[in-house]
Amino acid sequence: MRTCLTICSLVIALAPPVAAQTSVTGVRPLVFGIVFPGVPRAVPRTDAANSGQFDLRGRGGGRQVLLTFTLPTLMTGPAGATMPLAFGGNDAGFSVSQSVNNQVAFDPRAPYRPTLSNNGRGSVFLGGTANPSVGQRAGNYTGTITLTVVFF
Amino acid sequence: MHTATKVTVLALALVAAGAVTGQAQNNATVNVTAAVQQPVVVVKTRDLDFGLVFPGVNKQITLGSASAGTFAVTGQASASVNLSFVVPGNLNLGPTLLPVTWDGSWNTANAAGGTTFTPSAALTPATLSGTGGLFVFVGGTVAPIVSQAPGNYTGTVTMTVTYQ
Amino acid sequence: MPRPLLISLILALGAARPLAGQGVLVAPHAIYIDHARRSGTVTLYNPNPDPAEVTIWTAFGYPVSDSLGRFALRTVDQPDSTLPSAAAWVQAFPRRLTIAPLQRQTVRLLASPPAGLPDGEYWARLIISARGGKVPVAGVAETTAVRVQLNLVVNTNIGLAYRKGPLATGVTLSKLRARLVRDSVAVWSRLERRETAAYVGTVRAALVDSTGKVRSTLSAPIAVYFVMEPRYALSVAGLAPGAYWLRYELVTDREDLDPAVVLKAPAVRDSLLVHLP
Repeated sequence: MRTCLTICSLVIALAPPVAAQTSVTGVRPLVFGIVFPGVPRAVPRTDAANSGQFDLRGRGGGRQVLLTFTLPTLMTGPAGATMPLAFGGNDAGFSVSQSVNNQVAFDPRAPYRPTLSNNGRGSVFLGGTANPSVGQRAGNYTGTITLTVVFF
Repeated sequence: MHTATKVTVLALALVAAGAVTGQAQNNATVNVTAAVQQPVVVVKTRDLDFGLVFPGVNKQITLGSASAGTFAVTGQASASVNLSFVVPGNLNLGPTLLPVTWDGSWNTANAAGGTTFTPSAALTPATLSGTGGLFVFVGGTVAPIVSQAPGNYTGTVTMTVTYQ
Repeated sequence: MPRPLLISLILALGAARPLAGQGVLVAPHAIYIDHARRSGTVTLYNPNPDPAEVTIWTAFGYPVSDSLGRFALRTVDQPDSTLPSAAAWVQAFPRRLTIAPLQRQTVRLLASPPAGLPDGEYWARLIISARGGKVPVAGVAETTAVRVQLNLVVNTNIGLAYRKGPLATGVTLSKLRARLVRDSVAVWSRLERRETAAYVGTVRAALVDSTGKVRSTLSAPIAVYFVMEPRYALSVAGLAPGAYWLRYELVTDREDLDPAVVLKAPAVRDSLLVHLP
């Protein structure tokens, strides 16, 4: 009985509830604002107001994570109209200090393995380019960006 | 197997299983948004240039001249617009006057041979092309007298483009 | 010729300065302000290499058609209470600004309607006036030449509507008629606005031959505030002689405006038979 209790306690101690200690949160959308037909509009990842932002929270400090974006190629607007989106090799950034002014750039089109801060935090910033056509229909367009984070 | 050993093996298995589930995967989404607005714009694409002006010699810039002023109007395809102008009858150097008259035309192609009009405050109707374009050409004639005083004669031309 | 006069003639050969000036991009090209928010915005963009000095003001006016069926703007300097004018109580902030080259500027439009304003739609015109940067005059020290320097001011005049309460729109179509003019069929109609808000939509016309095939089409934006008799032209160049159906309709579908601001109304249609010689 004592052995069982000891072992059970050890199991519980060694197998903590991981899910409760890691999280990724979408903090801010990527906002292109007003766009004119035929005029591409770029939002840099360093734009504090309009770049997309995700905050990461991991267990412990100095842990690596694996970041993978699912990026839309189009935004959808009125009457089914679509507007192309493009993401370049410099359009994402990771910040251990969670500051838009202090990022390490990476390509959002490929997986990326940064290291969280000593307190298990980090932020991911994302820019991009909207490419409206000359005949782009007026109205509001939206899309969804997904960031998948694997915490090791 | 001894009971303690069984429990140990079970515990180790649970620990091993827990080590696998310690690699957590989360995901989150944010929206990406844009608002497309159809603009209207009037851009000067070429200056109206009178070039050399000789006292006593009228100088005309025709609408088809490479020196005629040209404006490009862009807006909604096939939209109806109005053009109106405020143009001076004289250019001024202080109290000294240099008479000037004006000519205009508009076209959906970038060629002066379109619909002619006299730039004035009266509304001139025009229609943008099927791709939302319109070109406005402005020419004129200055009439310096023989004793026209040298100097920099100035004037202001105001063009208004009105949309429905 | 006396030498001094010869010299003065030679020196009088001045190089005239070209006309300088520019406009700014204005978006959207029609402003809609809701009573619940009482504010709107217009975005200005300077596409030129020089700064643009911009002034903004309001006036009252609405589109009409002239005797030839062409679009015109009726302006009223002092609209009385019978006219739904918002010009006196809509203001732009800032009203004067300078936009640097290749830069945008958002201008806020704030409405201060009178207390007890009845439900309805109220109209104004927004005028955006842009003056380009000054062109330096070359050879300033040479004061004996005749030079011409023209400053250009470009005004963009767009519509503004203030909406309070539940609104509806509609249009009646009558007096559809057509006449062959050279290589076009000129189409006229009488359009009369119904309900409380201006009708904003698209005119579509088509010529259909006896086999049902569409041979010529026309699509143009339109706004009917009171009554209009617009004229449109459908090309018939190259079409064989014979009878064609002219199909004419108005729909509240606009690709150049945010669908959220376009009030919906049932389409109105009419048709008539046209004979091409």
